[in-house]
Amino acid sequence: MANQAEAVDTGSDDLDRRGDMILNGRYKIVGAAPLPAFDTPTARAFRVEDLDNSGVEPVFAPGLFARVNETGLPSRDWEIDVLRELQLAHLMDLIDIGTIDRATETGAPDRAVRAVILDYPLGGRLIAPGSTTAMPLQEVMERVIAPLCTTLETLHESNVFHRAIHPDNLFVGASPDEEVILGECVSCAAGHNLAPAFQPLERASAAPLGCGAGDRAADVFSFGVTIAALLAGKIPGADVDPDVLLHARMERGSLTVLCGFLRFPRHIERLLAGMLADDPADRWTLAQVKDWLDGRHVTVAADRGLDKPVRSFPFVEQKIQNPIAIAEAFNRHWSEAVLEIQSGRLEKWLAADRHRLLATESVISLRENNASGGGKLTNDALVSRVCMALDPQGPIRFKGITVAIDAIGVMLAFAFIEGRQELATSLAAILDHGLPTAWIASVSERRKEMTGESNDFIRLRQYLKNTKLGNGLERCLYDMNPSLGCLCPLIDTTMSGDAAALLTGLNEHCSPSDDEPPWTDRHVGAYLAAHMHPRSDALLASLAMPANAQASETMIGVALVSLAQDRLAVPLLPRLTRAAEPRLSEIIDTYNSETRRKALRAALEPQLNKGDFTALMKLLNDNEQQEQDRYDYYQARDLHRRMDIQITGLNSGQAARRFKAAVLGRKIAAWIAFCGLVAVSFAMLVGLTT
Amino acid sequence: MKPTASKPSTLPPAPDPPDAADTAQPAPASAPAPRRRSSGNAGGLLLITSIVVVTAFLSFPTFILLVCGLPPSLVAALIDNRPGRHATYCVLSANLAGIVPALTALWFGGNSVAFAMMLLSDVYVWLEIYGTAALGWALIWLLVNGTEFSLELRARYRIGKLRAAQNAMVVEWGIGVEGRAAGD
Repeated sequence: MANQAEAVDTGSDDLDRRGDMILNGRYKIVGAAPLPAFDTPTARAFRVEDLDNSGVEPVFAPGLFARVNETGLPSRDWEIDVLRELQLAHLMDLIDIGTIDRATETGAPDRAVRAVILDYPLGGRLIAPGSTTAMPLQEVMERVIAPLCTTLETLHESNVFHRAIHPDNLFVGASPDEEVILGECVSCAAGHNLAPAFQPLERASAAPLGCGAGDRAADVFSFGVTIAALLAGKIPGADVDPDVLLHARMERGSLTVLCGFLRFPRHIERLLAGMLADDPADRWTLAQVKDWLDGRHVTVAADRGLDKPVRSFPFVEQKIQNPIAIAEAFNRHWSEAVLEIQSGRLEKWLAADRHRLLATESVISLRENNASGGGKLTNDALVSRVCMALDPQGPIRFKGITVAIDAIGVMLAFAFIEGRQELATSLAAILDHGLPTAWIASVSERRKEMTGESNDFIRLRQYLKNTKLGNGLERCLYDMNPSLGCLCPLIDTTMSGDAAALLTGLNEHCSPSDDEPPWTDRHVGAYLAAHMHPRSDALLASLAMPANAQASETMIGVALVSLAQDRLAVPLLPRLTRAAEPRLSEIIDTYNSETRRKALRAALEPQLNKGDFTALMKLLNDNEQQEQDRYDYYQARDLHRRMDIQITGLNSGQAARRFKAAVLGRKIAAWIAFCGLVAVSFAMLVGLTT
Repeated sequence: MKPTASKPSTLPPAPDPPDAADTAQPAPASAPAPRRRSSGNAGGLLLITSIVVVTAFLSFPTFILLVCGLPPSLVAALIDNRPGRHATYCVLSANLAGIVPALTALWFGGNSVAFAMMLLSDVYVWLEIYGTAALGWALIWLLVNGTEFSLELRARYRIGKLRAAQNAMVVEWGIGVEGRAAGD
């Protein structure tokens, strides 16, 4: 929703008081020299001193400034990598980026502070904040449209979507007549700083963070609104309530709502109609914009998605005419939407328009699936998927949450960083209901194009269902946000930027004085598992898992740390192994045999001092020994049981023994007597004959 | 059978279970081997009777001596219904061992009725004949009880050994090896 604003705490009020901050050992960000003119809603700007590579000698760098972002949200790594390599004339140069070393700060905030060092635009912003001066058409065409069109095309060729195109992000160089420079886009999440009017309709209903990385069409739309704003001298729709504006755009189309009341030269109206088309398929490409600039004829498609039905659809005291608006209304009135869909009125309304037969069929199918019971399609999933059928290009809607499929990750990161449990739960439910894959499958072309993404979401769902360490929602978080530092509260955020630093940080965190220091948590497990994917999954699947749940968790932790230590050549972690010792004993205790336990403890002791988790892993993850132990144990149980039977038999066998003794004793007596008879007879015979 | 018979193990070997013969299956106590129908030990009686009758025809003095000396065996044959009739044989053997010296004296002393009567008038001859028969019975009592005692002793020893082995298993494998929860 456009008004579903996240209160991202930038921590910017504290920045001025913090003094200087050092980035990557070279750039000194002067906290006492803010540049409010270059601030953005999510980042504060400061002057920068270049320490001249040596890290000691300060050099005033008039050509640089820094933007400091304390939201802690994941950075746009792909875009950063590309922009570091690219040198575009009309794009603000990205000099450096990184996490600020906290040692130089006075405060100790609990989230990562990212700073980006940028080329200082000597001419400042193109449009001063609050300015109502309209730019002449010719100037806009020559200084803005033409250069930025080329710049954006180059970015798009590298699969970088700017998603921060708006008048406030346009700058000029030293000469006021120079062509404009497009500002940076990496100090915030994609689309985070865009006003709702600059978001294309298919993303506008999402929260700013939920608008997603976007695509070429999204950049074209923002570019179009920016052009309109420059020509009009005001931000379109700025004076209208965001919800009202969104509803109007859904019902009447973005072009009409945003530009209908503004006066533009006739020449430009065609360009705006092409760039502000609400259907991404109808929206002009940058190549078409260039064609238009070159004076070639470019067709403007009729806005197919916004054709008006004969009658409106009544819902919660509203009369809605557009399916997209209905989807939005359903999202805001979830429980009423369930009843409305189950009543069958929606499909009747949709069926009245022959253009919406596909949506009608989808809604009927979903409703019948829901009605058949068996838990196949829950009421929540029903409403969400009906919203997809009504607005196939729109974001995923779920119980008031609106998020683009490519923004689920950053929204989840936001929920974790800000401690928004209810948001995290909703996002988990979205993944658990398989809504992203359903969204992809809801359009046949998309199904083919996004097979990889679909498989990724299926994988994420499996992680979500698995509650063991290295899985769960935390795993989804780090899997979807590779650049997000580990949110483990045990260690400093500057130590959590990559897996190797995380392990080192954990090792330093573990104090030998603590009785039983925590050595890992769900965040560490999930972070390592995500960063070691796919090896981690294979390892976890083959792990010799102890029967005890707590020991299993420890085993997984050891496996993940050992994998990271091995793959990333992390130095030995003796404090971490010592901290893990009590937990490791739990693994050993799962062995049934005391002899084995003693042998393992003896072998474990030297490894604990070494800090080599790989060796620990080899010692503890012995499938064969575990299997042998189990086999021996069951054999022992069987033997014990048989001994019990024997003892019972012996205890109750007195009568049998008495019987046996009677027979045996008599037999022996008979033989002895017989021998006596023979002996006497022989003696008599011998005595007589002699 | 050892618990790791099929897989090599570094564990100390579990104690061998006791011999099947010793431990037996829970007592056939109340079910000893089915006895033959008590026909009053007709075979034995017939044998003794035949010997006596034949002897009566062939040698009357010997007949007199046997008639007077064999009643213990006759009684044993009558009361011994156990399979194998070892008691009968025991008493018979012992009884005959007591008669043999008297018979020898009879046969080598004229083999007359008068000599037989003279022998029967000697109390030592009676003592010898019935004493040896009594010794036969005593032998039976002694050996039956001795055997029973030794079997009982052996069973107790086996029970002790099994208990010790079970305790060792509990030490090695924990209380769970008993097949019940620790708190049971």
